[in-house]
Amino acid sequence: MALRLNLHHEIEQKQRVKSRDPMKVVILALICAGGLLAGYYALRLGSTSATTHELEAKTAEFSALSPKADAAKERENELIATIKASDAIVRRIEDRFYWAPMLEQVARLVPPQIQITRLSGEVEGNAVKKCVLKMDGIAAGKEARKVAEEMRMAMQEEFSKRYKDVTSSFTTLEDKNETVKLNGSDAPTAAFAISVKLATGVEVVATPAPTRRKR
Amino acid sequence: MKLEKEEKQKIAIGVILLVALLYGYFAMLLGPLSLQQESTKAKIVELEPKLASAKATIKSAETAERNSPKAATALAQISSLIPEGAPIAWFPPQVSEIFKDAGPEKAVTRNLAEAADKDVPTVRIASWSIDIPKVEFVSFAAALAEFENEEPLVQVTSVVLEPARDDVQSQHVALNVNSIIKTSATP
Repeated sequence: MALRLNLHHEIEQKQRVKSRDPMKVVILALICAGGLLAGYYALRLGSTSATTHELEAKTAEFSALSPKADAAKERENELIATIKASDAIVRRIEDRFYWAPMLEQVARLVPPQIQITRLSGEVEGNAVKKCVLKMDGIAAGKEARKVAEEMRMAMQEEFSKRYKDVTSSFTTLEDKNETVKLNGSDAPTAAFAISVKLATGVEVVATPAPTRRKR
Repeated sequence: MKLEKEEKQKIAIGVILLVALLYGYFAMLLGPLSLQQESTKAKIVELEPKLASAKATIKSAETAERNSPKAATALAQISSLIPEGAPIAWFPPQVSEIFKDAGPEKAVTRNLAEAADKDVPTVRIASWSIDIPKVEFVSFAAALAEFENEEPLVQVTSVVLEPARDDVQSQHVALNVNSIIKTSATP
C-alpha cells in the first residue's frame, strides 16, 4: 500500500477554520434578518401610506361636504317648518267638526211626542275632537218616560254610526204635572235632559326622535 | 467541537448586534409606524360618522326640498282664502250674508279674542260670537251647513239653540266660532 503524504494539511486546516468563523456566520444571519425585517417594514409602510391617503381623502371630502351640510341643515329647518305649518293647517281644516250633519240627525231622531226646548253643544280638541251635546225637552204620551228613553237609545245608536266613543245619558228625567194635547187628547208629560258625548278624529302620534347608536 | 475564546467573543458580539438590530427595528421603525397607522385609523373611524351624518343631512334636505313645493302651494292657497284687511271689516258681513235667509233678524257678530297659532306662525286664530235672535230651525241648519262648507277656515266651537224670547215658535241661536286670519291683520 502506497504511503500518501498531505503536505497542504496546514493550509486546509486554516481554510476549515476560516469557513466556520462565528463572526462571518453572525454577519450572514444579521444580513438575512435585516433583509426580512426591511421587507416587512416596507409592507407596513405601504399599508400605513394607504391609510394616510384614505384619511386625507376623507378629510378633503368632509371639508367639502361640511359647509354644504350646514347650509342644507339650515334650509331643511326652514322647509320642515313650512311643511309642518302646511300639514297643521290642512289637518285643522280637514278635521273640522261639522255641526250641520249632527243637527240634521237630531231633527230626524226627535219623534212627534217630544219637543226639544234647548239644545247646546260644545266641541274641543285638535286632532281628536270631543263634543258634548245637551238637550232639554219635554216628552208626552201615556209612557212619556219610555218615549224619552227610546229617543236617547236611538241617538246612541245613530251617533255611533258616524262618531266614536258615543255615550248618551239622562241628566234629568222626571214626570211633570202638566198635560199637553197630543193627537186631540190630553197626555201626561215628562221633562228630560240628555247629555250626549262623542268624539271624532284620530290621535296624531308624534314620531319618536331618532336615537344614536352607541359605538 | 470546542470553541476557542476568540470565537466565543465573536458569537457574543454577534448576539449583541442581533439584539441591537431587533431593538432598533421595533423601537425606532416598526413601533412609530404602527402608532401612526393606529392613530390614522382612529381618525378615519372618528370622521366616518361625521361624513355619513353630513351626507344624510344633505339627502334629507333634498327630500324636504322635493316635498316643500306642495306644502308651500297649500299654504299659499289657504292664505289666498283669507281676505285682505281687518277681519272685523269682512268677517261679520260674511256671516250676515250666509245667515240672512235663516230668520228675519240679522246675525250680530262680535270679536271675542285673537291668539297666535302655535303650529302655524303665519296665521292667527280669531274667536267670534254670532248671535241670531230669531231663526227657523230647518233654514238655520241649512245656513249652518252652507257656512261650514263655504268657509273652510272657520270652526264652530259651540252652538246654543233655545226658544226666542218673544216668539216660542222661533229659536234664538248663539254660536262661537274660531276663524283663521292673517298674522298681519288685527280684528
